[in-house]
Amino acid sequence: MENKDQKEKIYEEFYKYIGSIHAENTAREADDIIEKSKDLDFPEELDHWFKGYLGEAIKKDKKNKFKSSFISIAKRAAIIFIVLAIGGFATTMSVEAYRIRFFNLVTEVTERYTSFSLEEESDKITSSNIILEKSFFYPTYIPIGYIESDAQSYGELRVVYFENDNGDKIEFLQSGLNSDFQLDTEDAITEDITINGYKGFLVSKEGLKTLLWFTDTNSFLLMGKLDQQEIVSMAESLAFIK
Amino acid sequence: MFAALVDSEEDRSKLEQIYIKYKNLMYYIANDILHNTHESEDVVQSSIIKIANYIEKIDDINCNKTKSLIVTIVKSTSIDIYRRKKDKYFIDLDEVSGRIESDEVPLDDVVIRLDQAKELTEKLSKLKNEYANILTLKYYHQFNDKEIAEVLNITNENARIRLYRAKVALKQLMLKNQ
Repeated sequence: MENKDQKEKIYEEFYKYIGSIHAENTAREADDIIEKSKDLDFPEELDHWFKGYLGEAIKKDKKNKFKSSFISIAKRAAIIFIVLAIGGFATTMSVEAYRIRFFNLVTEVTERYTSFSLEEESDKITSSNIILEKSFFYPTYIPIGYIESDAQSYGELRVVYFENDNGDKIEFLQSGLNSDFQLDTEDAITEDITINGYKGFLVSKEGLKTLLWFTDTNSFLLMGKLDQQEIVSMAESLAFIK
Repeated sequence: MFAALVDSEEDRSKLEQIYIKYKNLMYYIANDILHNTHESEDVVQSSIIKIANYIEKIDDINCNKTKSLIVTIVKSTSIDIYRRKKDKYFIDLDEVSGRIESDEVPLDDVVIRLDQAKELTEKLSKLKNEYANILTLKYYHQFNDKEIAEVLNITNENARIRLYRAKVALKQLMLKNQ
């Protein structure tokens, strides 16, 4: 049996060697053709097709990444909820409640991140996510050099990406009030901020600014390498697009 | 045409470099076989999508291994279109299903001489280039039967039969050389 296996290995190595010689011959043939085809009249349509093909692949990749990060956030939020439900407050350093119109905004600050969620007062209104079903908010101020590069929707969640020539990106996310958020606040500077009269939180870490705020109907998140004035101006410029 | 599995920035960059470097080569080979610009464009598109499926197997875009794989993919795709267009009743010997007892062809009765490998490869390629291609895909590129079938536009079973016949043909050439 061992003898048979050894023989097969020898045969395989021999075939591999034959394959490497054939590949070398084919590559030589390819080099000749490359030389001959230098001045070939190559169809432009194919370049357009390839550009579109790569663009599609990038979009798919972004979608998948966003979906998986959203699922990951949701999973972590669920874990936190369970921890809270069983009274496991051991890791919680502080819990504060801010009253935002008909909702209580609960921030939970742990050593590594801060989670934000809304608790609805039972005898008041129900969240009005209907607004996002047909219409959405869009910033009327966009920092110089940035243009919209992509936009995606997942249920009530809508994300718009802006990008400048250097490849710097701004991510603008809007959702209903059912979304919970966790922001990486480890070694970050956090401050409370007001956006058009609504409570918001600005997190600055390694040049990246994340601004999260809630209105009566929606939650918003802006993230990018911007200075504070720019990110606040962008947030304050939101207009309702029907 | 669907966007294949180029789901990382590194893979997309590699595919883009391959396209830029080898687009003329691909189009030239396709047009040389088909003499039709539209069909040649289709071949380049199909070939790029096939290459995208195996992009993780490609380490160096400039090496002989990569060039050989690209040429094999483009030629197979072009020949497949040519055959379908030229003669729909074309039947390759390898396409005819047949039973084979084993995938292995014993080489016990021949002497493996590495100094004759170059000559044997050239003879095998002249006898039938598809035989040299399939041995290369299987043992040098380490493709499995399903991947070989996809690259060569044949069924898994026919890939297995062709591989077997390639080994038999090589053995006969070795016997002649002794």
